[in-house]
Amino acid sequence: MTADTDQPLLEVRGLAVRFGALTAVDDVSYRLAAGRTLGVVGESGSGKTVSALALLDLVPPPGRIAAGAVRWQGRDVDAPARHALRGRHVAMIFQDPLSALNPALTIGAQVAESLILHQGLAGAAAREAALGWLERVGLPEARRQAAFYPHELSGGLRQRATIAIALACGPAMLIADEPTTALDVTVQARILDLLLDLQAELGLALQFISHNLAVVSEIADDIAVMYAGTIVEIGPAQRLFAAPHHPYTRALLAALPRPGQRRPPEPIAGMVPTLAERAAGCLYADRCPLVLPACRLARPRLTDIGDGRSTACIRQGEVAA
Amino acid sequence: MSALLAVERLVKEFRGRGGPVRAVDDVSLAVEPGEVVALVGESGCGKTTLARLILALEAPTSGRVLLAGTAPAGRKRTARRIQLVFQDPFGSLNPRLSAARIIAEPLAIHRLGTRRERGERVAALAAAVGLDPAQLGRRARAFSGGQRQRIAIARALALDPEILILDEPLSALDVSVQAQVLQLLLALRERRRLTYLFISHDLAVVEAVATRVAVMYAGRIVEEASRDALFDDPRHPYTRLLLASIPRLGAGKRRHDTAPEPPRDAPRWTGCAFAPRCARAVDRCRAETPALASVAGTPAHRAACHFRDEAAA
Amino acid sequence: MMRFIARRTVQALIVLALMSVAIYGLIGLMPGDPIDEMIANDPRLTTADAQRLKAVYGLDRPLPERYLAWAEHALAGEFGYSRLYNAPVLDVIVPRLANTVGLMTTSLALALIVALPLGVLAARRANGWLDGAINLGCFAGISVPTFWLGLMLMVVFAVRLRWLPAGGTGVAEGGTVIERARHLILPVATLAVVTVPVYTRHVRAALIEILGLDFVQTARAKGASEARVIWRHALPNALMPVVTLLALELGGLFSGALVTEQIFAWPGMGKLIFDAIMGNDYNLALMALLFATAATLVGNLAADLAYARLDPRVRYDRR
Repeated sequence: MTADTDQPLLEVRGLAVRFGALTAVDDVSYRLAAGRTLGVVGESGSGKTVSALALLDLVPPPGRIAAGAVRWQGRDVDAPARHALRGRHVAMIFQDPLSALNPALTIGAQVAESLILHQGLAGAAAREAALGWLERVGLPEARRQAAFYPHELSGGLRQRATIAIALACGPAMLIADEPTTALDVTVQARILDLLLDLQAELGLALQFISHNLAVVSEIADDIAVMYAGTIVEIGPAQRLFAAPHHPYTRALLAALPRPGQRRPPEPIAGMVPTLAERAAGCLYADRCPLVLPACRLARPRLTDIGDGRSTACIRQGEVAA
Repeated sequence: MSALLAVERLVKEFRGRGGPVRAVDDVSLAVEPGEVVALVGESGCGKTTLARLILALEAPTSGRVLLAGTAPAGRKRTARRIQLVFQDPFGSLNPRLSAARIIAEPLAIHRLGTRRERGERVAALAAAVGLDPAQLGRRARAFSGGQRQRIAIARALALDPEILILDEPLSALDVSVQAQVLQLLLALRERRRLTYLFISHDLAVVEAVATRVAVMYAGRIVEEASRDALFDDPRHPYTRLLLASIPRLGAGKRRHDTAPEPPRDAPRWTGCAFAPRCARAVDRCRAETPALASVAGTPAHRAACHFRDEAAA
Repeated sequence: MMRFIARRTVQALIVLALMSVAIYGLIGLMPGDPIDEMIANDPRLTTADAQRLKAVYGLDRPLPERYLAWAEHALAGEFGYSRLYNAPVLDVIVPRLANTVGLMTTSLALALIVALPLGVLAARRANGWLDGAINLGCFAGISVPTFWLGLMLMVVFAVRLRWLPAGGTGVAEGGTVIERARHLILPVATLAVVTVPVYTRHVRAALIEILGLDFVQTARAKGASEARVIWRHALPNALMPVVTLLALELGGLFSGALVTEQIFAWPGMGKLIFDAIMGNDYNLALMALLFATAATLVGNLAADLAYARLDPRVRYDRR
């Protein structure tokens, strides 16, 4: 993981989330330092969103946090106390800004609410400060647009507004769950730049969740690859792409159409096991070209393989062949 | 006319606030048999409206659509020859119907075959798209996104069309599933000699599968070229912007520019619609609408830009 | 927006005119008229007298002619005379209207005050035991017949315990605020038992749907307390169905609740309309019913305007 000399801002160990008898997220561990970006990559069913929600105690019932330790700024935060992290310490933005914003409130009011809740401002002071935030996220006519309702703005501006709402809380960390997936590609590029700018300016730790590896690679320092509820590989972004150490990571890279590669990409056979189908042993076994009988006996744990990387595969050395 | 599908000067106008809005503005396109023509553009560019016009789901304000040289008579006739696969596999299938009924529905509507014959056809189609025939009795909502898209493809093939319009068929799918469905689509094209009109905003996928690409902006085609020509040598500033915006793996943290995109209801310019966003724009661009004309030396590569003859820096 | 309101007002006036024709016609089609009633009550009236009276009241003329005569007077502001009460129609209606509005508004307000928190509670603990209990209560409330409930309440509280009066508005006992309040309690309670469940269920259903939406998640992620999330974010968006119901209720606000008024001897519009129709008192019946119609139309317009206020995505002035 990150070669940091200071204490990481956030440390998660062994996070597990269950829905009734089914395990959605299991044994998720990672670290994040201030000013760094962790990209969390995974497909549907990978648990990437649920594990982020678990951090802030936002998992909707019947989900519940079954295990896991979280350390924030060096202190342990148990499950009930994670509620207090919301907004003030860790803010979160979601995928679709149209449905993520209250349709009945102006965006100015929604930004102001963050300030009222966490910065002790009220009334006119809150409104002025809200304007400041809207300008900072790049709204071209902040004063006029603060009175707009979410449906009156374009997708890109809406997402900028949600970023303003999140950052106005004054957090040290931002979790962005697929923030650009619903946006056009040119708009996406600008939003990514905005996030990088704001991160540099505010020293934010950023957890960027996406199913799109290419997008994540443009913004992340480290990448955690999730599959069927657990992290299968984690490490510095460029090294991960250059030489993957988990068969799933490798297959995922091969399934992406690459610029300049003018032929269809290689599909991964099979499907992600549903919550109910998760047997013992490695969850990728049924789709893995390197599978051995030993793989099905026990779930491989995430092991440090040096160089800042960890992977959950017993044949990790043979992957990047 | 060898073109299988020809769109001639199609215009579709809607009444918007403050005057008529042209969702499709004088678009002409020809698709030869066996091609994969990709229609690329961002939201609001008119590509979906264009698809609807081709399928006769909407009537054009002016212009026409020709199939193998003749204008088809009405929507039902068009449906026999061109079919559509939608973007959203969750919204485009009635969740309460069984997969078998969904696939058989076009046959029922056009009164083709006896019940037994339809059943056999459905089974054959399911096999062709990689669905387990034993599962066909299950309701649509029991299937995953990728499987639903397969059902949608099977349904589209039921009438044995010549052309498939695929409107963002992969966008709602996981990456690994995208690759699977893409592989299926290409195999089907080979086996059944289909022609595809592939609408997408995902240039990476387009680069992998298209034979020819048309880029749309504000209701017009601004560049049209063979796949290789477009990606190697784009001649329209918007195309260059699109290509520069595609996230690239392995390039590390990249910077673009942070100024926000202009609002969609920007004042209507005479001249080039892209001028407000174009670094290269000069007065001529604002005064004179550039025509979609051939780049010097390569007649098949056309761009709607006054500077089309300048290669990228 | 003003064009929208203007358009709706014109539509409302047209509806009122049509309603007046319909009501007048329907009452006219009923057999018998006030003169026949007088004959039935007083055998000394001869046929000649009857015919003379009919001529005086204009009852011997054909229906359309009578309607037009009424309409002419109505447009000039004269709404006629009530035969049953021997007084100008407005003098009869207004005090009864006041009583009814007082009763209905109080019970509606009370119902909302109870139903909103109850609905919120049921939605927050949806599918739990508390929700089940509240739902059961709602079904019970809706199923209870009003007349039985009213009578039971009267038997218990007015007859047995003698805590509350059995009927009337309290005017006869001095008309003080306290007396009026005491007289309101039983009829309001009766009406509330039926109204609360309906609103509770609507609030619960709407809120459950809203609570599943993304923006509620955003509000929580901001660190807003659950109370703030519910009352400031979720509930305002969930009020649309409640507004719809209220709009429909507004007509009822003016036409009263016949059964309850009857049981508690509440001199309101319900009984008035009933008596007027049965007694063939055209003018009275017509005006009373038109009041109710106008109230419903106003209520609908108010509801539409409220939608626009509650949900900024609702626009009435497209194109």
